[in-house]
Formats: sequence, C-alpha cells, structure tokens
Amino acid sequence: MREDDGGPDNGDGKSALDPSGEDAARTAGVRDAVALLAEVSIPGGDWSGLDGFDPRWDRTG
Amino acid sequence: MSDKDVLRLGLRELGRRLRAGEISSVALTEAALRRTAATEPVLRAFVVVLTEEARAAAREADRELAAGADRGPLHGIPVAIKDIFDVAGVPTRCGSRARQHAAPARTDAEAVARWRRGGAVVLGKTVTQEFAAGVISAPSRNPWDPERIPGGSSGGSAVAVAAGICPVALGSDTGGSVRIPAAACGVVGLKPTFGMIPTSGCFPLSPSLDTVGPIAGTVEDALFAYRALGGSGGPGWTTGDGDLRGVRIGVPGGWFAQRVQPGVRAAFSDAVTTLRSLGATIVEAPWPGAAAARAAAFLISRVEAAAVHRETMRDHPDAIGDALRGRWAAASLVSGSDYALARRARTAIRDGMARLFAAHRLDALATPTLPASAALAETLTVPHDDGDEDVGNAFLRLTMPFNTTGQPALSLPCGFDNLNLPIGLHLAGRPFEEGALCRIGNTYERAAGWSPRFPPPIAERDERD
Repeated sequence: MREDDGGPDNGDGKSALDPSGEDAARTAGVRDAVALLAEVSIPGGDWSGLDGFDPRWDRTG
Repeated sequence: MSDKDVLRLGLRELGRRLRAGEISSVALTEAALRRTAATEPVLRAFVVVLTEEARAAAREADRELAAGADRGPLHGIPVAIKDIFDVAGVPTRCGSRARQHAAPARTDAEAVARWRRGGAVVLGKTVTQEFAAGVISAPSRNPWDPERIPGGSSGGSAVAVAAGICPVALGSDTGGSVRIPAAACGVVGLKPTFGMIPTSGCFPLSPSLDTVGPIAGTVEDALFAYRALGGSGGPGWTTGDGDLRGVRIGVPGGWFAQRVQPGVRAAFSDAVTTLRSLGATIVEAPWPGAAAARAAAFLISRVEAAAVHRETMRDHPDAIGDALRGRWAAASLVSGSDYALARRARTAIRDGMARLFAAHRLDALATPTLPASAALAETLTVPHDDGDEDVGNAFLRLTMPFNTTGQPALSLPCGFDNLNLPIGLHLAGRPFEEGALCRIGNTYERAAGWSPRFPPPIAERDERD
C-alpha cells in the first residue's frame, strides 16, 4: 500500500488506482460506506454476525 | 397460436396441456428455439443455445410423461440458465474475458441439477454482466425498447422470459441481480431468503450475499420455479381470487422515495392504492437503517469479490473489464477491521428490520424496485431533476439493502411510465416465508393486471412468429 494516494500496490511499485477521475469516485464511495457503518449502533458484546450470517429473526427478541 | 403465445401460457396451463397430450415438450422446445432465432439478432439474451441437448431432453421428458412419470411443474418446460451457473459439458464464462478459455463444467450446479430433476429442458445459457457484478448485461437489450439495457446482472435471463422464449429462467442476486432485470424487463423476480437455495456450482461474487432465484412471467410461475429449486415457502401460499384482508404492508418512504422518477412514483402510489383496495392495511414504516444496509452490502460485496478474484487481479488484470478492475482495486482500501465491522453491522441491521416488522406487525414492506425505468444503453445514466445518476448506483440503490437483511424479496410489474417502459413493485417479506410473500404478490398481480404483459414485436420477423 502506498501512502501518497492510499491506493493498493500492484507489486510493481505502481498504484492500481488512478487518484483522479472514476477511481477517485470509487475510493470516495468506499470511504463513505465505512464512515456510515461506523455509526451503526451494535450492542457491545454481539459479534454473532461473523460466524456465518443467519437471516432468521427468531433470535432477535 | 404463435410460438410466443404458447410459451407465454404459464406453467399451470402448459403443464395441463402437456399432461393432456395437447402439446409435447418437443413441440414446446422447438417453439422456444424458433423464438430464440427470431429475437436473438436484436435482444442477444444467450451466450450459447444448446439446441441438440435441449431436443434430447425434451424427447426424454415426453417419454417420461407418456410413461406416467411426472416430475412436477417444470417437467418438459424449456428454461434458460445464467452463465455463472455450471451446466455440465458447457464452459461457465461468466461474461468475462478472464474465462473465455474455461474448460467445460463437469457437473451441473446444484440449482441446475434440481431443475433438471424437476424435468426442465435446459435451452441455453444467458448473458450476465461480467462476473455478475453490474446492471448493464451487454450485449443483451431490453425487449420493451432495444435501445435500452435490460438491467442485470441476470439480464439475459430476464430478457429470455420477457421475450417469450421460455417461461422461467435462473438468476442470481447479490445486490439485486434477479429483481433489477425483472423490473426493467416487466417480469417477476424472486430473491429467496439468503441461504435457502445452495449456491454450489454458481460462480461466486460475494458468498455472504449471493442468492439463487428464479425469473418468471408471473408470481405463480416464480413460486413453482422456486419450489423446483428446493425452496420451501412456509405456510401462506394459496392461489385464487382471494383478497388481502388481515395483511399489513409497510411503506418505508425516506431512502426509498428519494431520487425516484415521477413515473415510478406514480405507479408505486397506484400499486399501494390497489393493495389497500384488496383489503391490506397500509402503514407508514420508516426504516432508518436503509442507508447503512446499502453501505454494508456495498462493502461486503466489494471486499469478497476482490478476494474471489485476487489471483486474476494479480496475474491477469487486463482480462478484467476496466470498471470492475477499478472497483475491486478500490476494495483494497477497506481494512480487515472495516470488513469485520460491516459484517457485524449486518446483524444489527437485520435485527432492526425484525423490530420494524414486529413494531408495525408487518407482513411485507413495499417499495419501488428501481427508481427509474430501463436506462438507455448509450448513456447508462438515470436522469433526475437535480442531475444524472450513474445507472449502477441508481439501480442497486433500492434493492441492495435487502441483500444485507437476507429476507426474501419479490419484484413484480406495477405499471408503465410515459415511455411505455415497465416499472417494478418490490415486496420484502419475512425470512423463510416466501409462500406468504408470493401470495401477496399473486393477489396483487391478479387484481392489477400488469403481468403477464408482453412487449411489442421485437423485429420484423417477430410479427410472423
């Protein structure tokens, strides 16, 4: 990962992301989504979603 | 009766005729092949048509029916399969240059195998957006206006049904890929509860979200096709001329009412009025988690898709389309902890949806499927009063939140805009209650009369068929 544009490294020293144009929009989209999810309220000890998502509602109380 | 008229009779009537000896699977399959030949130059729904294999399967289906072996509603029925599902003997190319030299699949995907066990005749494989990631489905075109996209990523499957080539087709839905093309092409798409139908043999896009589902001409046919996939719907399915008394339907507004084209807004409003006239209780049910639900599915799908294609991205990046390569490269900006938090947030968002249903005693949530009708292939944008929106963002905006929740969701036609392009009504139900959801859809469909409806003749040759 290069620090100048935050983009990933292809292994050849060049970022796979163009810091302008469409890639900039894609990058912004990712960062916006991360920021939005940081605001989702979750009870502190509940990490049950990581053991395989279960769509059932009967455990939700 | 023309080929397309026969093929549009619906599974119930086709099944009756097949069992009464009034038509054969061979005749039906030949009609589907003629219909394909008539429309394919314009619509390009298929990547491969399995002519001889389909004929052989149809002969076998007829032999079995004549011998009294009845495999159910799909017995002898031509079906189409999205080209991310393995079909034995055929390469699964996933609409990608990266898989142009893929070896033929050794076995059927489980969903395909189940349809075959149900007697289905596999007609061919349909166009998908590259690796099922997107809504354009080039080179397929929309039967209602070939200047427009069919939606995606299961675009070819929706086109095949809308054009009257086959009564049902198989799709997959990670962010809306069954429901989006169904809405854009004026047919029905069912996204079952996450995990209900096995995804083995279906090329993954985002395994935490990938869902297999049928596209069909009517809600009843979608349910028949879903059951033939092994789906159970719970109680609640009855067909007939019933009403919706005792059913409570929430309208969330908010996220689902923003940047929605006037024609869609009007058709959706009319649909809600019809649901109410059928006896349903309509309640305002704001869902504040919708934006987060979209964000969670967005992040999870980006990261998982980048992981699935990690080696190709590293070794053969030029084999992946520019847009997709850019998206997956951007996914590397998501840290491991961000991904874990998105997965964790998904649980909270699901629980929020459960509380919403409980608080309002809902049976379903109603929204538009898409904020707009099918976009022009030349522009790939959706016009709004405040500017154009990229079609990928626009078309996924209203469907993707329900991939985060994992609940079943149904898109069915609810009218047309002033360009005579179809508009979709989206109904999301309780997990594992596909039957109850389809009963609401079927009751609406029968009362509203928007489906099945069929596009105008697609080509000069189409007039004669």
